[in-house]
Amino acid sequence: MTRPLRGFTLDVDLEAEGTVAIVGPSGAGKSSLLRLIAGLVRPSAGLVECGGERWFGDGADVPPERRRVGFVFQHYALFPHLSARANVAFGSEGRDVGPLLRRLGIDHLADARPGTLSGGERQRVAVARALARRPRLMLLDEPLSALDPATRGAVAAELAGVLQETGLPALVVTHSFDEAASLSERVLVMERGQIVQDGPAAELLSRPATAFVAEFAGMNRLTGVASGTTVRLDSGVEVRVADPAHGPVAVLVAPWEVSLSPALPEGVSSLNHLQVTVRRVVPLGNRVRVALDGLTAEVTPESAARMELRPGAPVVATWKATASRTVPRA
Amino acid sequence: MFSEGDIVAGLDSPVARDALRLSLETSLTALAVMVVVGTPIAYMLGTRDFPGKSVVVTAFELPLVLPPAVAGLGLLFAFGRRGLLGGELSALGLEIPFTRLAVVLAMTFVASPLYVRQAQSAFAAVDDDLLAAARTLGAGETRTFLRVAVPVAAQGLGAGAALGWARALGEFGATIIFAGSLQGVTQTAPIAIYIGFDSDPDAAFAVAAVLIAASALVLLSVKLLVRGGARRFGPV
Repeated sequence: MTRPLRGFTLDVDLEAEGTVAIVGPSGAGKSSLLRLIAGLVRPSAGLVECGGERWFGDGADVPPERRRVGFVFQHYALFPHLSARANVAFGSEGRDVGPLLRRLGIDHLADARPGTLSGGERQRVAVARALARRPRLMLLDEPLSALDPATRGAVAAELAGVLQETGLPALVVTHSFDEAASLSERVLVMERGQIVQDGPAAELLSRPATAFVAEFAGMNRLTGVASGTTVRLDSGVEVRVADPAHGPVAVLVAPWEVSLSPALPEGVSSLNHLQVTVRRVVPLGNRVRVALDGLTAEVTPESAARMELRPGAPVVATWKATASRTVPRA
Repeated sequence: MFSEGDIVAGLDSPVARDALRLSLETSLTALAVMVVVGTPIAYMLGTRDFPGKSVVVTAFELPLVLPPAVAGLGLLFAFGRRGLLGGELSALGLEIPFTRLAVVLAMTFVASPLYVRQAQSAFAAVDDDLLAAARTLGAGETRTFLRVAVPVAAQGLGAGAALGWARALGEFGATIIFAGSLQGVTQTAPIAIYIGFDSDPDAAFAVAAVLIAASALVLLSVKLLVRGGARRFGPV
């Protein structure tokens, strides 16, 4: 379907089963996509169908109240004048919401007003309210962004479980790679109204389609100008890449493909190398993340200790041309 | 100059009693009309954009700046026997000028912009996502309006209603031109004060005292409503 937005047109062709995470830079059209499906915004052209039922297109335009979507809004949009129970019951068409409150662990909060609930509690009320509608499709707009980072991981796992249990197709907009990966097998990346990549989270890491995807997944992004398999980086250093290209490009390298050594190793001809300075050293479980000038490397704790990595230390960063990818840069 | 006793004595006069009863009844009727008709209009103006909206808003605000006497003349031109709608109304056997209905019309015309303006901004302040949420939960436009928009905007609507009612109660200029001053029929409290100032000062001052009390009450309730509104839901 298509809809003109400020500055670009949203143009998406998507079929969903199970949970699909949608990621993308802000303003990419992720929320608009959910609102188009829910009927809160009207596409200028296209087709919206759910379970064989035409919601929009070819003269059909079903109003939002008859589309049976479970929409979880970014800031939850709980009705402030109603108790948690009344919020959940709003769309339940008279059905008992008790079991749903218990399932989401909010039955003890049933009489509380949203204003007195914590972020995580509000999120659960919002999910329960959406499910009480008996939806045929769940749409969640950044359901974790209003939570503090400490609780986000646990809530994400819980939410993934609830969504899986319902067996409903669900589109979840999120802005972090970890969230997307923990919520769903399938991750869809949108940029400027287009889907630029659609696949498992692991594929975003191994074969990022664009510079945004790479950066989003935590990849290094070095900009320069390509001429065949040689790229002259903005710093003036030339590196070799596996995919031939021409013009402005970004060279993408995963942090764990970057090796560090105290000095230029022997036989470097096959390797790309940069002389850089260590900025920060952050231990991350069984890996150590080393922030360099414009580059991040991940090494084992043993080699970090052996090289005595500390801020200000000069090192040489190397990687194989075959470990990098080249994507055109706008 | 005037003691409590004088005020009580003044309230005993039929002129004062008739005027206060008439004012109470007509102003409450006018309030009911502005709330019932004005609330959906304010909702449309506060939550929707449409071509010509600013023209509509300006038209609604006109009575706010119009001198009341001019408003009264305008109502006469529209509804008078030789007015724009006079022929049609007489054919229906309706004579509006110088009746109780004329009092209500004058009050509604002059006071409803105050209510609509306040209600419009109360509705505009309602988070759009709340209305969208109601829609996705199966509520149509009407249910969304009644069950979400109105309760969430209730404080603002209450404050607007209080201001509108006070304005209707104090209406003088448009009423005296369009409805006249007939005791028990169109002589409202402010008109009774004006007439009684010469003929029956006790009654005039007694009515004035009641109006002062009513105005103070309205002002107080508006302040409480506005403060309560900020406190009621807390951070959302």
